[in-house]
Amino acid sequence: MTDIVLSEQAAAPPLPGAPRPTVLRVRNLCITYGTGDRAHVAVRGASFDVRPGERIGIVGESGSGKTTLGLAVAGLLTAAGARVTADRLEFDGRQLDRSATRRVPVRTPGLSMVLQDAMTSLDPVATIGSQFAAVMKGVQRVGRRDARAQATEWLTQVGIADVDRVLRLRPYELSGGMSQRVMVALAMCSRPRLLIADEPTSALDASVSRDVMDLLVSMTVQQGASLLMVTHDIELCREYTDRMVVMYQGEVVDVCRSDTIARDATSDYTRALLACVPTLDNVAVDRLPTLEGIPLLARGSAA
Amino acid sequence: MTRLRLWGPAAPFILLVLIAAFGVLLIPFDPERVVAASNLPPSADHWFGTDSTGMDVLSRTIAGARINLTMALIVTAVATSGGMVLGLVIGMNEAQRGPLGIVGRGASRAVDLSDAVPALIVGIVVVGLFGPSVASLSIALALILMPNQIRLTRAEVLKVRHDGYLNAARMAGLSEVRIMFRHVLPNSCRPALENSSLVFGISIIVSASLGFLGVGLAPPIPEWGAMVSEGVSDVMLGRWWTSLFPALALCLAVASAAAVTATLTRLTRGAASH
Repeated sequence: MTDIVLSEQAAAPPLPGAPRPTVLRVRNLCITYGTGDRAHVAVRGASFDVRPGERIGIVGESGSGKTTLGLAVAGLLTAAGARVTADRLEFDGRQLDRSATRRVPVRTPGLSMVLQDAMTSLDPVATIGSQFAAVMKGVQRVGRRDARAQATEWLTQVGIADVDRVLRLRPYELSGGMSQRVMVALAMCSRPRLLIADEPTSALDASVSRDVMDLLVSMTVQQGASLLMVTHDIELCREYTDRMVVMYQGEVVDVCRSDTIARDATSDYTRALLACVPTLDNVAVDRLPTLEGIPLLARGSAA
Repeated sequence: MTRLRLWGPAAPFILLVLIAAFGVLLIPFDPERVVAASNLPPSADHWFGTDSTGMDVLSRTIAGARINLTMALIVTAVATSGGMVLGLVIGMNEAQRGPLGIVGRGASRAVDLSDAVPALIVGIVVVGLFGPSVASLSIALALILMPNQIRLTRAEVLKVRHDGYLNAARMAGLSEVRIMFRHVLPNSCRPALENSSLVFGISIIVSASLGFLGVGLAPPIPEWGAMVSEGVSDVMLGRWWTSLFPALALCLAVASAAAVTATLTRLTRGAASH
């Protein structure tokens, strides 16, 4: 699986052998909610890179800070009362300004996002076609007819058969899988360098979620985009990503290749997490191992 | 079926609008002139009788439809569109830090406070300041009825404000003004729109009340409230027709507007649940 993916990646970069610039570089990223006594450190000193065409999975349990990390990179942590600091937070070689407490998020060219629940990411009263047109006009300044032609093309690419009908529909008339496909098309139509997907499949059932993951992979490969996927599903990550960033209690405890994580994992937590996954190998055991509620890492004082 | 469910309840209202628009072409007498002896009871010549000055009550009632409905229409349009925009702006800004947020919160409380001021007092003051005319009455009524529309829209904006698709639109590079009017407003305008036909009915009642209190339009102008008020003393003397017919017209207008409200509410609720 990974070998095929790597060879597909090799088709995207321009010069063979030339050093490819890192798409996203994160160094010592800290995110704090609240101030003073009520401050809560959600992400503590996270560091990792996303290389061109690479798919990174950020995994962790609820409250591990993985979603906060994804939102901060996307620039969606505005007005949430969060303080974002980092030694480096570079996207495409440019420093991202995520520290300012902006009132509303702004567009970062080259960066797109797919949210957990596609239904809430689409305006319920606007047709799919008009939402495409709005994005196209906002991003590419294209005319109405061009926007429609491009929308048709993108929707066909994400595997929607009845495009003309879907363009006239409103989000509540679509199924969950279909609306997530529409979201992927909307996210990709600005031709991003990095696609951030926050729990893209957790609102979908198992078979549809695999379809959507296949789609995310094929679309990002086709566009040469990198994928930063936030998920609690470590098995999904193993299958669909190149590298994994494992988070626990706000800290990055492991960054390693997805295919060899079982061997290469350096932290006890990652190993313990992997042991909790039901597989055909451990189907014979009476009880699946579970994680203790007690933090495996010394929990730093929240200040 | 849907067509019948919509047009059936709306029929009296549509009839009324047609009467307001074209009724003056059909009326037998000039509504602002003395055309016969005073205090004639209903007869073949004067179906609704004549009033104490000798003007034809039927002609005046029909001509009054135009004035009362026009005012109600203007008031509904101004109060609803103004209320929706103000509610949108207040709702989007009141949670902010800084001067904009302070103004927004202040405006929000002021809207709540305006509920404590009786509608008729506002009407009397505005008409007293600007004199009785269709324009000043419309301004007064719009002022009276706008706060509720503001409040309805604001409450809905507060619900919609944190929806994911707004941030999605922002990340796609849409401007904040565009997001407000293209995404927030369409998702938050429903309560105010549903309420607008109620605004229509209330504005007719309030304008008639002001007419009844004597701060409405000046006498020869046919206005239902003023007509009821002028005829009320005649009722004591057994001349029931001068105030009964404009009063019936008033009831019909308000009831038909209420029927439209109920229909719209039912239909939009139905559409939303599918």
